[in-house]
Amino acid sequence: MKNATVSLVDISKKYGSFVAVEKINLTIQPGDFVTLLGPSGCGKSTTLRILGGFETPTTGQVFLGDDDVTNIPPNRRNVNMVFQDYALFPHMTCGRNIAFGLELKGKTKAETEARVDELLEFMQLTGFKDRKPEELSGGQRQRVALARALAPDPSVLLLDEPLGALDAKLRKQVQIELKSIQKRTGKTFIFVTHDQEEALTMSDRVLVMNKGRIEQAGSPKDLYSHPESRFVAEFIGETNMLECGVKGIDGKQVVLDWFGTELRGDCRKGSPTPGQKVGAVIRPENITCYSNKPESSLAFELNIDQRIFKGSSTTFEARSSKGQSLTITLDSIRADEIGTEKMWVVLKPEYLSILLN
Amino acid sequence: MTRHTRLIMQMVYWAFVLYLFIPLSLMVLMGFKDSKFIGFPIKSLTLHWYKVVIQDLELMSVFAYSFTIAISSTVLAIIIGTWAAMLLSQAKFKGKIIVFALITLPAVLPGIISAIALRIYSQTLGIEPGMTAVILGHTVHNVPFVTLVGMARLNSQPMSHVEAAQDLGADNVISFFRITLPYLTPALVGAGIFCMLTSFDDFVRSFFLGGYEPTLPVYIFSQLRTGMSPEINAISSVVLVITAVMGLAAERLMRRK
Repeated sequence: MKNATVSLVDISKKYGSFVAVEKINLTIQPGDFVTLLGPSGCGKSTTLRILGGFETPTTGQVFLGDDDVTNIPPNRRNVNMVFQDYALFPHMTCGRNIAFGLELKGKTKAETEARVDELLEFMQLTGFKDRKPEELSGGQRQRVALARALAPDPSVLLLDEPLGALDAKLRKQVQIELKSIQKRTGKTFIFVTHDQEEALTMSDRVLVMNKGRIEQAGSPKDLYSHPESRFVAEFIGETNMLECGVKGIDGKQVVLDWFGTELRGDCRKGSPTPGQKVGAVIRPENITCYSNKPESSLAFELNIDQRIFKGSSTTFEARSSKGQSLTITLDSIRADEIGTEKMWVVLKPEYLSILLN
Repeated sequence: MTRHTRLIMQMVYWAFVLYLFIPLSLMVLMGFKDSKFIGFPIKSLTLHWYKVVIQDLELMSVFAYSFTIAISSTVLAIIIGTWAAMLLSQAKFKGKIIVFALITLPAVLPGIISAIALRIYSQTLGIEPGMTAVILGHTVHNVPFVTLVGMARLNSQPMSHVEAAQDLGADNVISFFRITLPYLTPALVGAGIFCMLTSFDDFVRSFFLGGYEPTLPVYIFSQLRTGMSPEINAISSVVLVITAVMGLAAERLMRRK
């Protein structure tokens, strides 16, 4: 089946007075690996279940290609889902599980068998065909669930936190595997997770959700480097959130006052006005450090509270003269050049994002 | 727990076991007695009474009759009970609690009350006392059991199993027969064995609803009135062994996850 563009138009879902999903508009290009990322209760699973047909939206429409599928039940929608608990049928062997969707599509016995064998080989599960799900490891079960969902050749594959049940080490391995399976099949994958690292590792595009809305959409790099709201900045990766006042505008740069220290940064969304309280965000690894005072008007001095060696990197917990704390990460080789008590830092404007909300 | 209390607990336990098993052992033992009269002293042992039982054609036909009733009422109870369990655990409708109460009520009604009620009702319906009436009576009594066991099992079935089936193209009928029913099977087999035993063992309903042909308990009862002989003990021992094996099997199946 050819991949189709998936669109959600003005989708809302209410349960009584509780709004699970509010006015979501979304277009997903064919062949993309898209992740819905957010804390529990943010509406990401509800959105996925609306795509799968398990929930009917209160308002809005779902399109698969040009077809409005809003009221089409899951069994007649050309979309398949990998469930959080895999939902493998316990009384059937792996082979029968994978064949289930094919049989219901009316494929002949020979076609079904051929496709099952092909998928078992593709997932490196050859030899497990006649085993029951309970005889498999977590990672193997996950692959059977994936094979079963891919078997009927859906135009979109939905994945509802399928890595949640795996241990940390296996999870990393499966993330890479999943990404490569997506590339090799060329299918559109829509993935739901609350794990930001998972989202960044696998996705072409990440949609960060909060309280039923999409906070920000973009490539993993975009979201990490240029968060547009405090929620996104704090949800993805480690960050320094500096509470500042706006001093003025200097060309494209915004001049900020951070407890007496002058900072400069870019504001990509909205236009700050002088006197406004804003948040300035900078990643720990984007802070430039010096052992002695550098030639820069933006340099200021920090007292080092703690130095935490983490192998390839070293993290400093440091404090400004006004008592404001900053977290700084350096390559361990660079960290050796820094003294034990004090350091100088520059917050380069290109790394400092200014957030109005 | 001190040693003292543990000792007392153990004694109480063994006293209870003896209380339970002495009558049963005596009954089995008397079935092997080489004499027409039940009681001590026992001079010698024999298999004579078991031969009598096997050669007793009337008794064999009573066995078959009881067995037919047990099978039929069990099959009916499983069909109705499973349907009720599906309805009660999945559908949402007004008055669900009332339906639940009505379905489970026969399990707690005293046997004699429901037997009399069923007798009167079946006659108004024009069903003569006999096999059909007994089967229907036993079915009514067994449905609550199947429903409760079925509901318990359905509650433990992950919602995602049915959703996955639908996702792969199954409608409600296919997902019931291919996913939910196999999941229910161990519980239903267990409940079925239990229903068969209850039906096989039932006296009150069979007595009130039965016609001229007696079920096994009714037959044994009528034999007792004309005088005890070790043949009764032999029949009872056979029934004891069969029901014990089936009961244990049912218990195991229902506990299996």
